[in-house]
Amino acid sequence: MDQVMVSGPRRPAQSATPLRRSAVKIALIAAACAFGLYVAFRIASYISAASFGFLSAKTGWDISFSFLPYSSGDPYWWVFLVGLTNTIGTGAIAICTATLLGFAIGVVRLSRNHLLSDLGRVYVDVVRNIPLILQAAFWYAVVLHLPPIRAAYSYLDSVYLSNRGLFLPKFNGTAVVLVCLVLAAIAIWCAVRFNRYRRDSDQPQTRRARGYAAGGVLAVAAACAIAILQPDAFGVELPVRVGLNFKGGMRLPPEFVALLVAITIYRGAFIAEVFRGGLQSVSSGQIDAAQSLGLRPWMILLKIRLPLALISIVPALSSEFIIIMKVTSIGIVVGFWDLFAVSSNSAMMTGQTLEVLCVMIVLYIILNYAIVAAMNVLNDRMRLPGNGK
Amino acid sequence: MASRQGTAGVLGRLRTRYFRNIWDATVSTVCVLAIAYLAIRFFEWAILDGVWQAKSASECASRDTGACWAVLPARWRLLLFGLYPYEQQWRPALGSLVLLLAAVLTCIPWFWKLSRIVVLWLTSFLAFVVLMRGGILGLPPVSTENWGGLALTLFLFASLMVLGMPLATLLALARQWGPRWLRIGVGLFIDLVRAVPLIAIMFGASLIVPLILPGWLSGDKLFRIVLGFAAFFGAYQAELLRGGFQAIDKGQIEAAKSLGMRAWQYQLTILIPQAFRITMPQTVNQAVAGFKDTSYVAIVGFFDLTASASAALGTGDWALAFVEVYIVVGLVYFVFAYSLSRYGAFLERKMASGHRR
Repeated sequence: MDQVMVSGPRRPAQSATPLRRSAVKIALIAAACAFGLYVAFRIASYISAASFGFLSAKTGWDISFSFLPYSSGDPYWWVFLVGLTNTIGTGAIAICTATLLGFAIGVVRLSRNHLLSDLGRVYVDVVRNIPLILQAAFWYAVVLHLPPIRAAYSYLDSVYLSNRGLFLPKFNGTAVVLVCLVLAAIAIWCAVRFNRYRRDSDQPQTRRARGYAAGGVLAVAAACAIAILQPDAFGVELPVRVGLNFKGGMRLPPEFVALLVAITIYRGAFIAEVFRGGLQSVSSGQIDAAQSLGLRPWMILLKIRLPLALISIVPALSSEFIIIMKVTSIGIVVGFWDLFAVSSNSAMMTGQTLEVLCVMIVLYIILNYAIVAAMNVLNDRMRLPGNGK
Repeated sequence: MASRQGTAGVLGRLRTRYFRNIWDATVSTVCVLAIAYLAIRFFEWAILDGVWQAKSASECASRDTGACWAVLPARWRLLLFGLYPYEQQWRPALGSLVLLLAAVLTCIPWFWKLSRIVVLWLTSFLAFVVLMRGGILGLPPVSTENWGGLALTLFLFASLMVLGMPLATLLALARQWGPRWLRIGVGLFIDLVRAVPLIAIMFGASLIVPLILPGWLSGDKLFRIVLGFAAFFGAYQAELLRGGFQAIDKGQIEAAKSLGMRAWQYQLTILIPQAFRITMPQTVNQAVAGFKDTSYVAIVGFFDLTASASAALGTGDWALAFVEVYIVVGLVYFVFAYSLSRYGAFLERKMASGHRR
């Protein structure tokens, strides 16, 4: 390992005149300080003239798709929030789809059937080596070249795919249904905790077990009450073809569909590598032990390999999630209004570039650190079962 | 694990790899049939029914049902050179060849010395810029707004290496061994850059730099975007290199000091080469990501390979041939990025075997 070249003069350090050295150092530092002061002065002069008054002015322009309600009469601070929720919403959905796809591909890549694992490798190699922007532009062109609405692809007469986007059935009262779903999730969580607590401790009738039971019952009761009071909300509204358009249901525009498909396929390949690496890192002794206990391959994967692998997967996965959130900014290629597209347009319309850029960067940093914090919590949770007990 | 039939021979291998049990056999058969079907369909579409000569995509469609490759002879200059003046396009062609040659030479171990690699990349980069810009040696000047196509993509990648790598090294050195205030400042800079999407940084660089710096320093738009891009790349690469620096035994610094070497001497000759050596696989991955990220300049209005692909379809004549154009352009990106990442994997294997010794 002695390949490092040790060349150059080997004079002892004392022989260089200290005065000359310090003179050069001082000159460099002085130049850097002068430059820094100049830049700081320019920035300060812009900031003193900066005004964030435009945030309450009306925008006067429209955006094509948003999770929050928006119209051209809304103020700028609202359009930033709309852009932020578009980024978060799209990013969250893309995180779910890309993780599912990545998990599937990662498992396929570890298959003992070489044909399957080779197919998985080809997928990962091809997708990872083509820029996401090109892929997004491609999928956007694909969606725009789908048949028009009168010849839309349909599935069970409730899902339609056409060049105007994807049409899905929706609930009459989306908010009500969402609340019920959250309640159901709480109830399931309480049941799981109650069950685990009862199993793990010797005295089942303790206060905490009772607390979880009460929480679960309350959540179920609340969900039932809502269902009884608002039965209409659970009605499903199908998209119906009327003339040259669809009425009812939910429309996902081509921009959103193309962006989601592109990010899912592209980042899914990276996440597949995360899962593959994590699953491979589980020692084969654990798997042999599970096999000798007679567990089925699927049970080994879900009950032994995945939980053990998650400890090393979660940190890598969290940086993938941050990348996905940031990468929604390429939505501007296909005309999707995320935080960056909204900011870019705001800067152009108001001319207050520096202020708009500040708002955008602050929002991105908050978003970034919110994900980091959430994933750190998850990471700590993940580590507990391994270290404790 | 001895199987009943034995694993020797082609048949045995086939059996253990693809037909271990009934479930595997079914999956393999279905996959083979699906692949064969898709391959035949693709062959029909691309070769048998492909149209090589037509004036527009609709003319292609009227001739045959297959791929409309006629778009390539009509548009290949746009894809390779963008909007560069037609008679002058030998210049980006020659410049791209110079950059490609430099990239190939970089893979030869003889060049893995700081002085050699710096000279190689600086000369080829300068040669490219002189060729493209013109204005001297009797070459008519061409504004950077007219640079484009594959040549621009290669230029962006080369400038990323020429500017981003030294920047990353400086940032990593400063964050690892700088004085306290510098460590904090560089750390804040790196965290800030990593929290914001690349496109926002390019956008910011193209708009903010002329506001802050005087006109003669802020350069033209392409230059500013390259600076922003290099800062982004540098922030990520610096974190890799810092990991490399941390892995170097502190005793080496003590030894260098006791030999009378000064900080810049042992940093240049001992620490930096080792940090690059240790982080070589990740650095190659970072370079692949940087190559793909050059496509971001399409968003801020430059005519790189990705933007040229969209422009080649934009005129209506060829809009129906979008699959063909995207396949070809995707293939170009793939060839570059994949060969780079394969080379990285080769280096990783080579270094792993070196350590095992």
